[in-house]
Amino acid sequence: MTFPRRWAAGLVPALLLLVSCTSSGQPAPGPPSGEEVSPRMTEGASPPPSATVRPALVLTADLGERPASWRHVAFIPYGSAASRPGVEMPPVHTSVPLVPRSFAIGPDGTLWILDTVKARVAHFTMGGRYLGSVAGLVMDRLDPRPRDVAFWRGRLVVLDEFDLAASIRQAREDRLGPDVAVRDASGRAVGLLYVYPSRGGGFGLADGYTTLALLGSGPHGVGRILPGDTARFQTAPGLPVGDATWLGVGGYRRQAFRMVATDGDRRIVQPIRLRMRVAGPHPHDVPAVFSEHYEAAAGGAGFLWIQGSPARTADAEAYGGGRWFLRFPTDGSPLAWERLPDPPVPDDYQVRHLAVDAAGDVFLMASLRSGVAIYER
Amino acid sequence: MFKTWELRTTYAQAGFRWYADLMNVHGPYTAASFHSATPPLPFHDLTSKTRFATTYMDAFASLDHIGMIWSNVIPGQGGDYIVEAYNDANGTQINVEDYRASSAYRAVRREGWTPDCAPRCSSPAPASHTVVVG
Repeated sequence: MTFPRRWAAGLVPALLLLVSCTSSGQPAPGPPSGEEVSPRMTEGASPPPSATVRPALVLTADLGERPASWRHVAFIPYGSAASRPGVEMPPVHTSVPLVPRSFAIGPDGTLWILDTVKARVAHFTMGGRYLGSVAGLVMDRLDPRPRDVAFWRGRLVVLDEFDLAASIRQAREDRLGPDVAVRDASGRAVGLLYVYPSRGGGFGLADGYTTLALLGSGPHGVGRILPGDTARFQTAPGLPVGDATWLGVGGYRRQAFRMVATDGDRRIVQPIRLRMRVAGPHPHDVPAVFSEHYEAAAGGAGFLWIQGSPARTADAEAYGGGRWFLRFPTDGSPLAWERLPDPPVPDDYQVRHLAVDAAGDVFLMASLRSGVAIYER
Repeated sequence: MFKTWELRTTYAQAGFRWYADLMNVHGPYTAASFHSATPPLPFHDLTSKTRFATTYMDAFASLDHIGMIWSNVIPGQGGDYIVEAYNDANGTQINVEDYRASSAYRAVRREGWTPDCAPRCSSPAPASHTVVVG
């Protein structure tokens, strides 16, 4: 199978567009374009013989940048009524606000919110009108706890975790079915950070084995989840973003990661480096630490939510930190790197911030003081 | 945090005390105490949150919450394996968290730990044994 010309041709203009848009992105030292590397530098279960590594792309997290404007879609206030999501504010029963952890857009375009405080997945129209809920979540210290939601083959699934180990529950009518542990082919328990919507079988983002002695080993990255008595995790090249293109992420380091696009036996690796810049009379870079979250993919692109903070306490106190949105295209469409608003209350408990609908449109869920807001890009 | 770090019940008192697992004791410190640790507290803020600057059993503290680094292993997407107690319902759990990348959190370290190299930290390298043959 040949690599689509549009991908190879499209990536370069997309990257050039980024450099010009941010006015701060610049190529960084890296392997020459087209350098062949060994398979161990790539991601995936069955690495091809070679991969093309692009020059590293530098994204600047500019703390002076104003957040981008996304279209406001809905605001759903917290409350005790069934039609409202639950919230638990500190300090009596919790140290941080327990806000809805995740959300998903159903195949019909409706909104599903993982309402952990009320132990359910609440169902709303995209305008915020309450439609019902799927019950059966558990919130205690002895059972797996809900982390993420998605739709597989049109059916709602909930990702649970317990001491890092993942399990999957599928909705049956208005209740959730039993927890099914996620394991790889060796039978070891696997941790999952996210589950992704799919018209076919399921996909999830693995974070390796979860037993303490094996922490850091095992499968990392996107894989298929094959249902059965146990949910079997099988590493994949990434999430499907086109007819034959897969987009994965990996190689996390302190201020860098890689996007890996695979089509048949061809693979393109795009190293991405992150830096943080402080605005003002004397703009300058500051040492920073980042975490990046591959939260969705659709329409030829992957979507990442990235959080960053100055590494030095003094800088963090002086300048704060921020969150950014990355749209990484594989089809020549524009690459986007833009700041997202900071939450008015700590949202540490929230796992998923971005989700896509069946049309590939991207939505952001923001935890506000009195409810959750949904925005569309 | 208080029990794991074996802090004493008297505010700012140096030294260590062991507590039984089921002993109900919280100690005199709030999350804010750890976030803004100043002498003579038996723990101190680190000036950097890089991975070079922190290690396991250090903590990240905001004004409201604190979690301890469970392992130096780095999760696949960044963040850290953190042991923490969010709330009454969930109890204590290990999670992948982004506190290092959140400006609301500072890194903080217990003072006076016995080094991992103990008791051989200052021992001279073993003398080479020379065997003369013949």
